[in-house]
Amino acid sequence: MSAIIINEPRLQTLRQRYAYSLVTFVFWAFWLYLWLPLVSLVAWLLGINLFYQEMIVQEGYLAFFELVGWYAVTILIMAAVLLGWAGYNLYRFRGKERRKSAAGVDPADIARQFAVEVDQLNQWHRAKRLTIHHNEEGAIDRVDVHPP
Amino acid sequence: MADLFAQFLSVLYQFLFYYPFFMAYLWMIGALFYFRHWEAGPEHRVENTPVLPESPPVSIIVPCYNEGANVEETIQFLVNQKYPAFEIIAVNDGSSDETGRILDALAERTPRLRVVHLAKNQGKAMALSMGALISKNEFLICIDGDALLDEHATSWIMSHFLQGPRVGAVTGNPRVRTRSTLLGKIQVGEFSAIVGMIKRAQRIYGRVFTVSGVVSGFRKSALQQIGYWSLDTVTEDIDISWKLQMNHWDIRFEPNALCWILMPETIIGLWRQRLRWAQGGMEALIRYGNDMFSWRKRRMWGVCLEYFISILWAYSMALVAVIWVARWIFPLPEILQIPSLIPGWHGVVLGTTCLVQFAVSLVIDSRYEKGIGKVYYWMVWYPMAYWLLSVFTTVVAVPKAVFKKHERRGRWESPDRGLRP
Repeated sequence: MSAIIINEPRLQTLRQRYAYSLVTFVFWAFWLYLWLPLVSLVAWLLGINLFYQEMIVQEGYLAFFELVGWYAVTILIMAAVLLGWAGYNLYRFRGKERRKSAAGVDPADIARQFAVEVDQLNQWHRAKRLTIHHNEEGAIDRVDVHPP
Repeated sequence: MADLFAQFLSVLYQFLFYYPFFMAYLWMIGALFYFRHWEAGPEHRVENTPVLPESPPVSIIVPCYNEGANVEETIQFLVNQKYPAFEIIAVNDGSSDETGRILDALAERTPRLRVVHLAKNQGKAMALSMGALISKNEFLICIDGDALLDEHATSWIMSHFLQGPRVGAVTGNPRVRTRSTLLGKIQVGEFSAIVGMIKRAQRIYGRVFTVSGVVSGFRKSALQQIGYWSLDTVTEDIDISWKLQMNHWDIRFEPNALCWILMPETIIGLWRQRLRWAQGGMEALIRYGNDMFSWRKRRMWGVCLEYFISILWAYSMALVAVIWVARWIFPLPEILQIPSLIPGWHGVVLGTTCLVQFAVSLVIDSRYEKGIGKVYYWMVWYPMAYWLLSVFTTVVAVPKAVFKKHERRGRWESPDRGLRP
């Protein structure tokens, strides 16, 4: 039996190996690109004068605080609604099972559903191996029960 | 008029950014709450199988279509289930390879195994229905013919049926086996950061979008009430999930019911699989969407709305992409100018969100797999790629679902199953 986890990078073709490394690299680059403003912030910090000019005098940081503030408020509201709903359900249904367990389905009902005879169905339930033939409409045409 | 249009565009741009951004947080909040409430604590560890008040017999159904290479291993794992009473029913769905012969030979030396051959290939939904018909028991566990079920899974799944009379299905926790390529590795992360997280969050708000087609348990009386699996859909799992929940049956997620699965490791394989998933979702929306306008179905509104908005989002994204490309080719009126693609602070928060979402999901998942944190390096950008993939598959799948010719049976070939030694 093989190991459950199959991690064998050598099974890749050379092309796959290069292509996937390239993709990962491109996406990392993209990810860094998303961080451009932060990178510039650090760059500004290194040249304090410029930073002071852009962020403090021209109030560049305000945009960031405003943005994050609104996000935080929205996320908090979402969390409150979702958790409130979960809490309400827990409170309302905890330990109260109003419904009784279903008794289990009757073979006669199943036979009716699939348009077969219940006696036959019982025989199939005992069979070890069988073959089912369907007609064009997808209904059961014939069932062969194989000898054990 | 132009003003109105400009306003519309600005709302559209905001929607494009805010929807995936806030959904990521919604999933994180839901998943963390789920984790704290239903997963944390030693009693919820996989190996601490729950003590059940009774152990009603279970039928494990394995539909197999050309699974010659995998089915023996699959059955072997099933035989080792730590559960007192169960039978295994392998349904050979008219395979053209040696699956039938392998199953017959296995049946001879495996007392628990019964084999059903379908004379012609009928599709997975029919194979499952035939398995249910032939099974002796009220409780079914359905797993794919190339998946390996963890030995404790049956007990974990059964614990839900025994606790909740209205539980119609329990979906397990699929874990990716094939990790040789980048595509394999990112799917490991995807199943934890996207699939697992969304399932947990959906359990919190009440209804799930789909049970997992690879591993799920069902109550037969629930299936009987809804008429078993629909034969004419490309994803029988999405369809049956909606059908059960529309009929007020509950679906639970059991993260301890582990099932090891093979996933595609080529782009074309992945694309085919995802396109089929997207088409199946759209089919469910078309089929059950009308019934949503009823107060009694209100618990399905959340999941229905979530899916509907995701389709709108995919199309909006595609529209903006088209405009963006167009402006490189010919001059566009001022109003269609897209604001700079340089990310600004939005990019910082979006990038951070991706990182956080991933970290949260891997922390939750490290419970089920030690060392899973290593995929962080490969996966860190995946939440973004996920949204991109959903744009493409949705845009293609919606017309496919709407204009689908009505065939009697949904049949498909499994895409590639990753690199195997």
